[in-house]
Amino acid sequence: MNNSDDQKPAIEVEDLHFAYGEKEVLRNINLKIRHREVTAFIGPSGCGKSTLLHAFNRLSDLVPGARIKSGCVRVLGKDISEPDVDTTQLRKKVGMVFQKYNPFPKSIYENVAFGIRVDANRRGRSELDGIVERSLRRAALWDEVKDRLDTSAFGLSGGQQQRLCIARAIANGPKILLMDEPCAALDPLSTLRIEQLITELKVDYTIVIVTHNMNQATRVSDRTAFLYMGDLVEYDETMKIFQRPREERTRAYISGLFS
Amino acid sequence: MDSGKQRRFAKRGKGFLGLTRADAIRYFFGGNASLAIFILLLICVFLFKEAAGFLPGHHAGLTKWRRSGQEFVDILNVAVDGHTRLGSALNIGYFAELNATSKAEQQQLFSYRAVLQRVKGTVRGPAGRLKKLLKEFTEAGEKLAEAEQDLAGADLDPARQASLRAALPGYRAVIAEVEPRIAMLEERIAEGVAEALAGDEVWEGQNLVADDREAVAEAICDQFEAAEQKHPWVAGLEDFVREKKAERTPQLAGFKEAVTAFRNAIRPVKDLISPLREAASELKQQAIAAESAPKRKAALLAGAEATNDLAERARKLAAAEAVVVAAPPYDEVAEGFYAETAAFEAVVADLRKEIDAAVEALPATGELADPSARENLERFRNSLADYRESLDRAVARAKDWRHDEPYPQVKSFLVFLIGKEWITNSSWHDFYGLMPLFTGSLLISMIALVVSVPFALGAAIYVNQMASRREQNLIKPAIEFIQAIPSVVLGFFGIMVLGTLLRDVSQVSWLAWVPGFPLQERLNILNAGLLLAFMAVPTIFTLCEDALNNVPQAYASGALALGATRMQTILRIIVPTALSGIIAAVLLGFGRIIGETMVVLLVAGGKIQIPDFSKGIGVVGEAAHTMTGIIAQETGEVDRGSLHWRALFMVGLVLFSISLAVNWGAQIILRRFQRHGT
Amino acid sequence: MSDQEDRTGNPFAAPSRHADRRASRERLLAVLFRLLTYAILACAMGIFLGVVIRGAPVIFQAQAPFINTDFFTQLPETLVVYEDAQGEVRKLSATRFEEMRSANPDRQFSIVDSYSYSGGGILGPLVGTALLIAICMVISLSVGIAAAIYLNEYSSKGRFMAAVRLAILNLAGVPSIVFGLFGLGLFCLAAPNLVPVDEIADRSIFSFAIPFTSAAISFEGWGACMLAGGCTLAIMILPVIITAAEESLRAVPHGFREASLALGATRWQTIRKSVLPYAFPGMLTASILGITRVAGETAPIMFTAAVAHKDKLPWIGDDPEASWIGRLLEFFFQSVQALPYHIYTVAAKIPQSDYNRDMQYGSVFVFMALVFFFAALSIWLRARIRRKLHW
Repeated sequence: MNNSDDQKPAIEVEDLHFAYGEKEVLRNINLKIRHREVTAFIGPSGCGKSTLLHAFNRLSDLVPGARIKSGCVRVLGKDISEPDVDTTQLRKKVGMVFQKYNPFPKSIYENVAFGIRVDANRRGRSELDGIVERSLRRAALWDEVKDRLDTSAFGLSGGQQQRLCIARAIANGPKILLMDEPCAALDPLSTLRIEQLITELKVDYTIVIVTHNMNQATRVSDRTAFLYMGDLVEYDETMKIFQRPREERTRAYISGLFS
Repeated sequence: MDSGKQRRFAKRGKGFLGLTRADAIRYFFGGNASLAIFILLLICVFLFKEAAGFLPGHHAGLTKWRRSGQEFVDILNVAVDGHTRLGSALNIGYFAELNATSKAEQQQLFSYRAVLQRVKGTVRGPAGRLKKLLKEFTEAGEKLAEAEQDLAGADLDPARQASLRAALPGYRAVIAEVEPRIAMLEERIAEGVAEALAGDEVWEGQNLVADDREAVAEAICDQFEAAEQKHPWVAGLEDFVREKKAERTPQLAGFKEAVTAFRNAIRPVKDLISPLREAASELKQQAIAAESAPKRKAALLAGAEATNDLAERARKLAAAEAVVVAAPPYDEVAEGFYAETAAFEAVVADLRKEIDAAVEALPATGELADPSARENLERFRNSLADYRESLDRAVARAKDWRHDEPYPQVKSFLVFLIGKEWITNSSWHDFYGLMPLFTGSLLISMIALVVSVPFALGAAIYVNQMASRREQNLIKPAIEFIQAIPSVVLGFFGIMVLGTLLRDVSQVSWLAWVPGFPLQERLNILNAGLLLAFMAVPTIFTLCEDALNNVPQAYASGALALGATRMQTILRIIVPTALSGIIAAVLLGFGRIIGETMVVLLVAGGKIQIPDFSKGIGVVGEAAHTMTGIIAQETGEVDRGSLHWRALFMVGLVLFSISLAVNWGAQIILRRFQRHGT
Repeated sequence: MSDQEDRTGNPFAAPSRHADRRASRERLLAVLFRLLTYAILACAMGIFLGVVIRGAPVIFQAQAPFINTDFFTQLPETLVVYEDAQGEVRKLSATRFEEMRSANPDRQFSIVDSYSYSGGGILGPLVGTALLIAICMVISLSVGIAAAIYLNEYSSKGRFMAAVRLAILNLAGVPSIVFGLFGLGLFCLAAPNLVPVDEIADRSIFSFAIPFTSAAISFEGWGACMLAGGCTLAIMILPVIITAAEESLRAVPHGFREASLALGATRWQTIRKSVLPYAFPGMLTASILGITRVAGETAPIMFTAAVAHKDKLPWIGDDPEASWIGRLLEFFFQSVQALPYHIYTVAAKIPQSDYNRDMQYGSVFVFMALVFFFAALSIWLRARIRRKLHW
């Protein structure tokens, strides 16, 4: 990682208008996400926070009719809608963790190794072993699963499966991790583990997390963006958002007037 | 609370047999639902009922086969059968060598004759009529000439003269009427011949270069114009061939002698067997007669009882008296068979010696000029050891054979299940062996699966994962249409179009390397397999597509988010996840194919024989018969309740079991592997 | 990777030649899948066109009424190939030939050849197939819908239900020829039949006389007849109908039932008033798809109903004096011609020549047209229902 990289924001969104078919779901978004910080997106259901997140690794391409109407998203300084962007490379550098943990119906080892195996550059077995171990350690899962790497990933608990998904994303060597409500399907204890993990991971990774849970946002994030009905209402340091929101709507939302 | 209020919530309408109306409705619907189980049981019951007598009957038949000595004859006959096969290889080899120097010419002659036959076939109608007219014409001409001659003669009584004179115009009229018609027919035939020769149909299967083809066509045209004399081209060829053969015969005298010696060596064995064969056959007839004797006797006696006509009664009583009820003389005849065992051993020993001598005298393979001759001789030499072994076995089995040893029940069942012969309506013995039918069914199904799975799976992947909405809306109904095509229509298509197409394609010279090409038959395993593959595509496609559709979207987005390409996601995540469903789809497709009737009945070729697997993949060019086909073909034609009829129901039972097993297997696979992804 | 990034300033550039090769391999694979798909459609098109090209000229003609009416109004009969006085070879179906010969007694014709079942039309087989389908649909729809109602509305999960579902699944996989054997065993040889006491067949499994009449019930089967064929087909198609009917019942939202039950209606009233009316269109659509399958089957009717030759239509009785009961019995207990069996006959059971071709391709064309019509109808109706019903 060199310094010139760090001076540019990790993700930069400029005047983004995003639509599904004719329906505009994001309007005029401007946002800069800094390196090695945790940024939380909060907002009521359907406000567009997930859409925004999916626009960062162009997973939104999968939805028929989804398109950027105007503006652009720059990741690591590169406009990702340009034709010379290879989406597979983009998605390797911008990892993603989903709301519902979704390990593949394969062994634990194969789950972590998947990203490497589909890479165009082949790697040797020992190198692969090293990457799998490092990733699992980084996701704080190694000690729990090291003896049963060849068993099915479905044998793990929900929290473990979600951490496996994080390990899977880390194995690709990403710069940025997108997390789409990673704890929504987990019990409080597992949630805590994940939150700890996020704090540990931000040393190395830029993390963007979508959450419904405002306590979670205060616990893990450095900055928070509040979206409402497709608009970015407020984006600032988490402390400021939760203690001295500038906008009335933000205040109403965080005090639980609507959700 | 008071009882009135309680009653208000009680069920109303106690009706028939203490059932409430609601209950009755419920049971009515439940009854209909349980009908499915009931029908399944009924199918079992009725298949078993009709097949019930098969095993005892089959066992009884085999017992008769053994006791009457037919088994003994069949054991001895192994020596003859093997010898015949070897002898024919030798013979083919000899003639190939003999013809080696005039091969091309013979091929031309052969093509000429074959095409001539076909052309004759196309103008058979007019030719027949022409023949008739010519006969009329010559007859009339002769009569006319005769009458004129008589009239020209001197002394003729006036009455005769007058009648002759009166007849003359009639003859002339016939001639006048027939003559133009003859001319017309001749013209028509010439036209027909030209037309047939111009088309491709009569040339089918003849490998002729353009020049030869022209020569053949010309010779055929001439043949039709002047039937009496041979076309010089043909005559020339024939002379050439004759000459070459004459030239070659003395050179190959040694070869020929060896072949003849080999072929004659079997005579004593045949001579030994043929009286035994007759004895066994007669004994079996007696056994069959004896079996029904008590019944016939009783019927005659009853008939005699019933009639009032005294003469009739006496006749019937006498007939009843004449019916032999006694058991046939098994032991007596068997003694005769035992006595021949030593003689058999002796003739086989002689046979060996003579064969050895003949093999000594054969030319070495390397000396032969013709590749086909070399090949046949090689085959002969390779199978010789097997034949010698089979002779040993035959002698040993003949010695061990005991006519009164009971035939094991299990063995009679095995003879059905893995027997290699299905021979019915035979004057010797009917064999009901499932193997020829089972292998036919299996082979055809396998071909169908091998062909259809890539197509169906590929299409399912394409439609489910890659196609646009519009394409999906086009392809899915189209495939449903395929499912709607009736199987008899596909069978018809196989006969009319696909068979000819396949054969033509197989005769293209640059495809000769494909195993099994060129195809000899139009109706064969490959043809049936391809049609069934087409039939299986909708089933497999639909089920595969379902299976792919059931893969949770989360897997796909997970894989894509990890930087996998679309194709990697499909091949490494979606397809493996859906694999259990896909396997189940293939299994169910297999069940559908193996149970399919009309296509195989129409297209498989109907040859009841285990296909010759020694050809490798080329086996697909053979004709075969199947389990479903045999039921469809024979059930309508056999006597109800006969052993043959029961055998057919047994085949049905086997099919039924296979279909249940396949279904059950598919269920298990689906259940075992479908725990993931809720 | 990172050196590439520096060079191009694009952190997400495709990394290497490896990737290029992989991309082209994947593109090739996609093309392959697409080819496989369209190859299937091409085969279907080939068969379809083959039948149309050879069959349409038999059915349609250039002059009014543009359709070969003889083909639809005559029974199959022998085709006579003859040569007329001019030496022209012509062909005519047997009755037409006789008519012409009696009309022109002085002209000379010589018969060249004759082919059974290759002349006339296909009225008999058409009517027979229609009747078989009608019987089959009446039986299978009533039983199938009732069974589906039970499975979807009444049943609770349990062993019995599991057994029923397993039975339905297995029944769906049984080969059609086995259904044919079963129909032969049950309906043709063992079903109860009403016969005069003195005419009980030897094969009767069990029989008893009905008191005070000269009739007896004998379990001797019905012989090969329309009813046996219809029943066999009905049993064969039952799993399809049950599954489809159940699907349409399941498509009716639960709220409908709960609302009705909450208003105090009984279960049966609920089903009749609030469920069946909404499920019915779907069931009917599915049953049309069933028709196409049944109509195409040959194996189950080979021994249970179909015959190659019949010289009259089913409703023309032998005995004009018969009572209506007698006529009705005669109607249902007679064998019929059927289109698929007719095609089997003309395609495989008679000597082949060019003179058969018209009958063969004509029948196949009509058959395909009918089957496709019903298939298209059901697909269209299904699409319509799916579009219309959004609860």
